[in-house]
Amino acid sequence: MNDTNQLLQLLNSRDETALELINTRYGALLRSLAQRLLGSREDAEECLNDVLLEVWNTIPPAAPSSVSSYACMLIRRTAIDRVRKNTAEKRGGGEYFASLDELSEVISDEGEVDSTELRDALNEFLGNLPPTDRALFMGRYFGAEAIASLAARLGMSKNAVTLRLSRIRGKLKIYLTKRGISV
Amino acid sequence: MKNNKKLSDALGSIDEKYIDEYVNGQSVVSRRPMIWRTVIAASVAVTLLVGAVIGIPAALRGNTELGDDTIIEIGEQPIIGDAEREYIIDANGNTVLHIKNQLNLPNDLSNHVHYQASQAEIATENYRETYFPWEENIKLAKKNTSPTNLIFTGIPIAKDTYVFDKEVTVYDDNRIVEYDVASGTTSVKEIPGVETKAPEQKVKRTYFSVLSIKITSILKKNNTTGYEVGDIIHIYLEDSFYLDDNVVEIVIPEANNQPPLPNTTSIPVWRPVPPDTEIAYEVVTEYPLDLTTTAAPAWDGVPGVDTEQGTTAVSTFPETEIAIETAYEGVVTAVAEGTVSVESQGYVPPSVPVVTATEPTTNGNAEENNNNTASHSTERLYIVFKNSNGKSFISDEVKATGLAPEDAWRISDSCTIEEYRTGNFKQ
Repeated sequence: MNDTNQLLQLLNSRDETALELINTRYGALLRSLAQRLLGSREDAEECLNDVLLEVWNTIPPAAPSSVSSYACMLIRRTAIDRVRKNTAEKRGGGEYFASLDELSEVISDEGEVDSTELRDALNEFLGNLPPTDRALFMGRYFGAEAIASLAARLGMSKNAVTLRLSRIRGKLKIYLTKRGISV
Repeated sequence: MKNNKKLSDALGSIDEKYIDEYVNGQSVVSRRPMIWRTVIAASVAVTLLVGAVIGIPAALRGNTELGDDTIIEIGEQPIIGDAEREYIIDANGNTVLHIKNQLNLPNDLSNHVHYQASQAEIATENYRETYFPWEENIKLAKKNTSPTNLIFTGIPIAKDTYVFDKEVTVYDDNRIVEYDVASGTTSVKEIPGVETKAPEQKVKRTYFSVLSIKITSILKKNNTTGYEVGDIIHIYLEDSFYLDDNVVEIVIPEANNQPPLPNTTSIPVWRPVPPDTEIAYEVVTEYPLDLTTTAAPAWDGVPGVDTEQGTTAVSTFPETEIAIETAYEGVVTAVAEGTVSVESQGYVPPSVPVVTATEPTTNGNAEENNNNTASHSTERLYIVFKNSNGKSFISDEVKATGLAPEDAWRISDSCTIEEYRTGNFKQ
């Protein structure tokens, strides 16, 4: 039985062990993602708790194909909500804004495209990227990883990561233009 | 600081499979620290997905051949003494810095030498960029039905690295060149709102390493590669980058008062092809550079040398399937009888590039067979010849064009194979 099946079974039978397992297996990943977005360990810890609760409350009926990805998506959303709230209070932000700023040079908030269309375009773009480029894109813009962290994880120099991300953004811009998406 | 909500929302709802891939990549890393950059022997398992060893200098290949889609699990990182350095002249007449057994150099020459397993994958799968989590590698290898598929563990015992520079012309990625098949003309198109930059002259530095690995156990029993425990195999790793403002230049120490590494211009070396010779298989062992020789190897006049098996196979062009594999930034548009035509179209999804031409049809055009799925190649262009037995041979990278290899895909005119081989075709 794989991780997800086991966790779904436990969650469906309302066994709290599931949350312990999620925390044990994916806690570090989820915490680090939240911390990168928020820039605060305490806020990240709170986010994780919120997400564990949300997992408990939403599964079932939700039955994600991967609990880890599902939790990852939830914690990113929760953390960003918190970042927005914190920003209003002038604190926090971590790498989130830095990475968002980079990508905003390609996709501004003023364009006419809506987020659904943009999501579809991004999905297609990601599908066409070489895996390493996709890992870089996801790490930087989904996971808000710092350049140094990405470089260490993927075994590249920081300069190489920066250069490659720049090229990926350039390609994204061309790609979106070709799709007729106003950016 | 911007709060681009639309973008943030789009990223947050990205396809689960990409999130899954990201999560898996993270979890792999937590189990697999960067052992390649350390000097300490580590007992952390790493994997390398390795393609054919077509690029290994012949003298270093020994008696062994690496099968397709081989996975290596390296269990231990040995400590090897100080590296020896020497300057050699490669087959193209370039001066190359040769570093022997530099596995444990404190700084590994630079950050650009990819010693981490995932990066090694990039360089070893026929130069195609791939990154898969460890489990994915194993899964893919086990699915592979190739009789040469092999999974084994091993320890690295030596590593030689060759460093060389080339002056290249770098074109703007935004450039789109359209090729009009009917008129045979090309034109450069502009993308609205995207400024196309003028070509730049840059120096491209390449690190090419040969890693020798001793097999300690064979995990997949049904391999027919003939490998046994104790055999030594060689894989190669390559990384290249431009020396420009975005990259910190590495100072390569001079060795033995040899002249400093020059920024040499690539001089294409192509064997002369006798008149009326049909297209022949390239001698794959020379790819990308035969660093063990000081001069271009002589053409032996025998087309179709099958170096993979060490036998000779002769085939003429019309009976030979030709596939062209190009960078993901270019696309091959057609292969008609005796011609090669490559068209640059700016960004093209990486699943597109491979086009296989079969027998020319009555109108002289090749039938296209897109069943082949291209892996992600880097900025290189190869020609893959397949004979009727399904064996394939990969050419030297295309560099007979007078352009730098990475720009070869930009060639927008057609040429005959003969012109291609001799470099005398229109640009």
